[in-house]
Amino acid sequence: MNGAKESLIQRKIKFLLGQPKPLIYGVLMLAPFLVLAALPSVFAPHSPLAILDKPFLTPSGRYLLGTDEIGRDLLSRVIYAARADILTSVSAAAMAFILGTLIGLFSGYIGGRLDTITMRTVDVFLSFPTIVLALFLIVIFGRAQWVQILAIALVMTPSMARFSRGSGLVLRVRGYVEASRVSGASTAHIVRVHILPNSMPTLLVAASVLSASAILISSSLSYLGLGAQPPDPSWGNMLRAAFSFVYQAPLYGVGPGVCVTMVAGAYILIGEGFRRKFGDNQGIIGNTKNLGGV
Amino acid sequence: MSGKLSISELSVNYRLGEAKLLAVNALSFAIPAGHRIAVVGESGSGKSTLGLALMGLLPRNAEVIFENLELDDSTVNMNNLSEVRALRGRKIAMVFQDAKASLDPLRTIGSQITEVLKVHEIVSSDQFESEVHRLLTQVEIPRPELVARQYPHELSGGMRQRAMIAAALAGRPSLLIADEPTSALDVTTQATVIDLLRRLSESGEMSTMLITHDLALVASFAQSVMVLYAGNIVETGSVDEIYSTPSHPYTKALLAAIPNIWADRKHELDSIEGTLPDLTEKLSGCVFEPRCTFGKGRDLCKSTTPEMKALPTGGRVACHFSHEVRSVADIRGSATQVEVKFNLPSTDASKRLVREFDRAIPVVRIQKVSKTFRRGSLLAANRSQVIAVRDVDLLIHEGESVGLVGESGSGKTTLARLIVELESKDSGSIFVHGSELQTSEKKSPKGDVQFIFQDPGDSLNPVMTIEQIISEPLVLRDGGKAKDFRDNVARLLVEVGLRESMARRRPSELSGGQRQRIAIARAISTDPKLIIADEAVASLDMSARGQILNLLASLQRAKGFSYLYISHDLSTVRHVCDRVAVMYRGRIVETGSADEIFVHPEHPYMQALISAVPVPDPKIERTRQRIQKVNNMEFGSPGENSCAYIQHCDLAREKCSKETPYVLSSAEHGTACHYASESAERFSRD
Repeated sequence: MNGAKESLIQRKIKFLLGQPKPLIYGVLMLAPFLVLAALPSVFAPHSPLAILDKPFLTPSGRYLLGTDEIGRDLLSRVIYAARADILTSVSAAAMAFILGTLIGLFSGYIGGRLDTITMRTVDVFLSFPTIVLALFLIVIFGRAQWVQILAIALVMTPSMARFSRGSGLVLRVRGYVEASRVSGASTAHIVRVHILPNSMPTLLVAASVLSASAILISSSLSYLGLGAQPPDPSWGNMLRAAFSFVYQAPLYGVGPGVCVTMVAGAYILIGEGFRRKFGDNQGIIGNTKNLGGV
Repeated sequence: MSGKLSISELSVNYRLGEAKLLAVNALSFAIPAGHRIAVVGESGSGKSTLGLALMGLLPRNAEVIFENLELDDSTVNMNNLSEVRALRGRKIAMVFQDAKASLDPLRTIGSQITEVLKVHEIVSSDQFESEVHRLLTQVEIPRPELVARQYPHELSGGMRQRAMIAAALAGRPSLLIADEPTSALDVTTQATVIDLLRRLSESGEMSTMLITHDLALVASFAQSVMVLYAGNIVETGSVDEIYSTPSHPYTKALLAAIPNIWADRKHELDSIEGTLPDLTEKLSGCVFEPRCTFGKGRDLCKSTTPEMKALPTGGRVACHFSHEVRSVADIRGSATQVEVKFNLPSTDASKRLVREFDRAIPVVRIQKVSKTFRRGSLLAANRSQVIAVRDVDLLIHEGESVGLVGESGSGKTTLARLIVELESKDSGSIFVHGSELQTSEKKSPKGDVQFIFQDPGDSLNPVMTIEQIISEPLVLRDGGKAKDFRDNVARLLVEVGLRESMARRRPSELSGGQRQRIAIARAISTDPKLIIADEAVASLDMSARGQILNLLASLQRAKGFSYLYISHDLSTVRHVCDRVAVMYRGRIVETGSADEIFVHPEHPYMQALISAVPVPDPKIERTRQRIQKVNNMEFGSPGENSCAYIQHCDLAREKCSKETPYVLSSAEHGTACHYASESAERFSRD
């Protein structure tokens, strides 16, 4: 009994270690940020808003990252900022993923005039620089967090649609899709049962890249003063402050900068991990299997 | 330059992670100068690996264990890369299956042949052009000056394969290895390419090794045959010997599994049960024992690997009981084949596999259907159109098997796709089970027509379980979930000869033959009235092919549905179908009962097709007269009012260029040819 249990755990560990290296590293890199975002009060030594000491203190045992321009603890601010930044980027990426995938898969699968119209619309959206488009939306609808999320989602949807459309286009001529059509399947059934599951490997790669660019866009927006409003911290608005006080406190920007880079990097690594994990289908293993009749 | 080749103890291992797959096991053989040898076996037998090993072209994970190769009395050290490079393309050249993939699409044919001349310094640079022309002439390409300047996509499949052969010949090799050189080609082209390969080696300056799974093809080509099974030579011998008195049970079974175009459908096809052994495991005893009808279960076969031993007739065989194999009367020896060819097939209905069907009830009625494909967008200046199907009439009765034959591009697949509404027709009408397609009034119920696709790897969704795949049409018709149909799936799996436990597996865990059985189970799940099988066995191995054809026939007997069987392989059509329709360039040019049409074909195109089908008997092949598809430029290219076949017809006259012939739809045996009777007479004379 005990042995069987252990072997199950061992199998699970073996399974986890058997995943592609980038995937493991990416998840390990992202995990601490998710924990911080979930429970900032547990890890932050101080309140992010409390003025504790003199401004521009250099890192010390008391304030690991130093203090900011009015004497707040930078480490605590970085930790609390994780919540807003990760929430915004993940929800925006998820919305863009769902919306873009639906538009793209249906457009690619159905094809014809619908596809032409959708893709030309996508072209129009893609011809605006992302930041400008997001700026425009936020200026119109205000600076609330949900507006930010919607704006970021909206500017990323077209590229996701363009990407997943390729999958729909490729898979529509596969034999199992045609077999399903012969049996009288509806478009919704085919997309749900055949096209979506078989696109998942490429879509997951796209989703990771999407998350990375979501965090970059959200940081850029708050850098420009359109994200979380002071005194609430976000990595973007902290970077902006760091930039203003670069002579007084050269190390101010290190904390938020490293965080943004690491989160975006983690997403990219996870994407690369997925790519390797699913890309192997067409590799040597698949070929030699057929070869030997094994 | 002669092509004398000798190899001893060649082994190839593939490393697959931890496991090792022994693809070729200690092969030894020798061929004399100027010899034509055929290497035959199923996929996985190691035949392609052998060819690639001789070329030194195996992938990195292959481990080749053999030191030397003796060619033309000189020994080549196969472990020395520079020696192998000097050999490759020079003394040993290779022609691959797919000339489209093997030729560079961005360079002209001429420059690709010149490259070989340059690399191996065959002739001086001022002679490149004339040498290219000489080579193209040698492979019987008309107008070599023009072809040398053309790109691969400008040539037809047959011409591309000839250009590939010319490039292979450029190094003036002693040994030419042709790996399935014709399996991507149409049957008429296939025959001419094999003829070309034979003529090229008849000069005696070069040996040719033909690697193929098609034993019928070998009969007209090879002088000797080497049969491989699971990486081992099981039998070698002269071509006559192999075909008349095979000594190994595997050879015998392979020969019996070929559907014969001349034979009537008296019995089921013989097939080889089981699959290749797992080559990653250490095997003891005879590799063929588990599938062998002679040795299965015998202690000697289980315990001892048979040695190669010489036969009285000159060949060699690896079988403990070869005398027994030889003494058993042939199931379909060459004598019966000759008999069948010259005495017409028996018309005694009771002997036939086929059940009677009711001519009164049409399942599908197609009237004057046309379909044109247009390429390019509406605004593009160079919008081209391809007329895929034009004015086709076709009736399929209940319980009938109709064969649709023709070369690729003849429109047969398009016609099938029109019936199941994967394409929409431009004009005409299609009635399925009494209701007309693309009219809103009454829809024929879901699942009345099912389709079996060529490639079962592509037609089964890889992320679904077998249960989900097979039950999908039922779910679509009756609603519910896959698990509601568990009992149906179990029954269907048994019906197609698989175990019920397979329901939980996924397609990637199955072999090609098993996958096609799953596709068949899915197709019969809704009790359809018509099943369209589009090249349903073309992607399968010989042994699996026989099994699937038998399965299709027995299911039809049990359930009484109709087949529309689409194939370019006339011998399987002959085996499956009651009636045949021949398509050429979108038109049906001949239709009639299978017995009629295969014995008395009237259309010159059908005659050429039948003539090109290889017969698995070297004696017949040697004396056979072929009616060929000719290039007849006299009347120009076929226009709106001419016969579509005018360019390739040896009987074309003035009238053929002025008036399009039609098949009379009422006729029992109809032919779209103005000179059908003359043509028919000529064929029976030959």
